Amino acid sequence: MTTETGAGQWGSALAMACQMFGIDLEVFMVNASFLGKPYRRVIMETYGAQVFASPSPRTKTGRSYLEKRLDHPGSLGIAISEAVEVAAESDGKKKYGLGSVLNHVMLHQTVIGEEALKQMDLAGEYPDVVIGCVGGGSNFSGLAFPFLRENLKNGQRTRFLAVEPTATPSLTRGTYGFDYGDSAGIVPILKMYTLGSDFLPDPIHAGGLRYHGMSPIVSALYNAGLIEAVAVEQRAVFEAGIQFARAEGILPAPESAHAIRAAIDEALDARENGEKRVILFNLSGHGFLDLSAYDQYLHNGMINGKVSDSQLDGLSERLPKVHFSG
Amino acid sequence: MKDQDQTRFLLHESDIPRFWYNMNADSPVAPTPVFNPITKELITKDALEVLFPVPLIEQEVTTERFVPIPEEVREIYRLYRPTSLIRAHRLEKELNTPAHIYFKFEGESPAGSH
Repeated sequence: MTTETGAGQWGSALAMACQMFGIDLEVFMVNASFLGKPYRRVIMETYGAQVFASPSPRTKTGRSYLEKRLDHPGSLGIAISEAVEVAAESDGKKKYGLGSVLNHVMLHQTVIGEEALKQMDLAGEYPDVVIGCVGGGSNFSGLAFPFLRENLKNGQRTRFLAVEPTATPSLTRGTYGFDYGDSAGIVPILKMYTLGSDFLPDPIHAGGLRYHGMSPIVSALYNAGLIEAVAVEQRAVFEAGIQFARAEGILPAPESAHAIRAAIDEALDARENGEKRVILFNLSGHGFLDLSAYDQYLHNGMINGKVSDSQLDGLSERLPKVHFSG
Repeated sequence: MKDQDQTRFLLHESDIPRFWYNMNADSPVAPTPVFNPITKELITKDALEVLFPVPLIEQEVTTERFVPIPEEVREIYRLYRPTSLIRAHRLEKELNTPAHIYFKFEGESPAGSH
């Protein structure tokens, strides 16, 4: 198998799975994370995977980016292109697995929500709002979709809130159209909220969310008004992550801290309105391999990621034109 | 009687789901088409097979509401699933909110995340 990974969580998960099923794995890890989170690489290697910083000299795509800039920070879009290129040119010997975005990834993640449905029942409560962070949409979908089914089939009225970084605000500031899933334009074109496949996000610490697009299912549900979205600033995210760690003891991944930010804001809003609101969020991962990010927040003046309007100018004209008759 | 202070809500191994849920089966919004990046025409199964394992392509386009989870995969899930659902009592107190805050802790997986 070949795959991409941002902060390294998906790469670690697939490395473990490949080891247990006796499959070799090559991981293209976004360079910003490869340098910033070296222990993630060690985990993947421990599970038996080969890990390359992306852009890498191993692919045409990688070389084209390295020619422009040797210390290129990379992006999920570029890493996907590299992993796909290796699979496409392997004469069928290697296959590619994507860590988010596609329908089958959302499908696999629904074990989270199916379990949570039973557990909320044990608690004798039902969520008024379900919250998850979104990059490509997989952990959010995994928790939300079984509860959304209950809305559609059994008359529940839960709200769904997808939380994205202000550095990659595909739902809240992107365009809904057909776009490449990767930077080189070699993976299938999907209908999604996108910032453009050439969009290079600021190197924020939530590497798992640094993606230009969004799951087509999440995009369609958002466009239909069935889910809500909000973008949050990196510093406010770490503030929430630290508040959570101090109260609950669990040190969250920066990605998950986006969901915590929104959950805290919902809880404060409930207080303002004197409402007993039941909030359920996905703590998608721990942050033990993100300590340098916490260190930066605590001691070195972390900055917020941002997107200027000019980066998004003429975006819809830049999207690929598909031959669509429907 | 329900214990108002209960913090962790735990399931048994036998509660590990046997099916994945396919949102597309119930979504009021039809799945959107996928296009070939080279030809810009609707993508074919052959083009997808160059890149992806066949079972994943089948799962990508399935219209079944529930897709059975292979037993070999459930065996691996047993190493860490079901994950805990936890009520954040202490955070609620700190925020002085009437809201009840629950979280699903996917950081319990060996790889550290969902």
